[in-house]
Amino acid sequence: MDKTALMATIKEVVAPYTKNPEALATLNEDTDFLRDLKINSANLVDVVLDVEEKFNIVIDNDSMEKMINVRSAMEVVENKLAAP
Amino acid sequence: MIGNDVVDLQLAAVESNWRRKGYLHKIFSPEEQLLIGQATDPDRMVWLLWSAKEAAYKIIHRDTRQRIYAPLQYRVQLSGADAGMVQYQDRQYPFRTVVTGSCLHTIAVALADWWPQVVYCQQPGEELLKDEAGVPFIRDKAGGEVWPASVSHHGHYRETVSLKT
Repeated sequence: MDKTALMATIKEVVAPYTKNPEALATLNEDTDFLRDLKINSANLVDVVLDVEEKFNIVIDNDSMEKMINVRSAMEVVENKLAAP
Repeated sequence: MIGNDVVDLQLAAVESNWRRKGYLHKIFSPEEQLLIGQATDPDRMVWLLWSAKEAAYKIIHRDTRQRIYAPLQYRVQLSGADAGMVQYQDRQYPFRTVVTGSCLHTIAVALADWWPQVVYCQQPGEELLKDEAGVPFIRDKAGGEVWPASVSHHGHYRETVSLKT
């Protein structure tokens, strides 16, 4: 999957939990889930679970630790897809 | 040091479906899941445990300035209905929770000795400051004294606490 498609899918996943539509509209690799998108930290679990379902991967705790922005979420998915 | 976390229970009921498959497993240990399973009000227990982890996280973030999303590394032990201890690595953080209507508010401190120094709201003549990492402080505008603080906002509720040692 190319980066553009990956980022578009991440954007789709985080959209329902986002409380800042402006930051969602300009989402990029640096976008922070908590600080920029204002996602509630309890909903970050939903983001992780939705990413797992969307890409049919399992995100272990070590990977989940990093998933606080778009860049690290993309890296986690790329790594899991490369070495399932 | 001090950390707090507020949960608007009415908003949480709409915003978070903790009953979805895999949810509890990602953030709560088997022991914590048992507490939820045995609770008369499981929703309240979920958010009490969660807020204790969040409050302890804020203390650790203040110390380390590192942002890591690792709720399973925080182990909550209750010592009564609305108090207990959060274990993180080799450290323990006592916490207390107060529920008023649908506002659940948890405060954690780094040392139990500090409870008498916890001030539960911002006083007149004080301002809230944040450093570049977003770590909050309370400053007395007249005297210039500065104390560590913690701020949490969810739904209808916003709580500011400070530690005046």
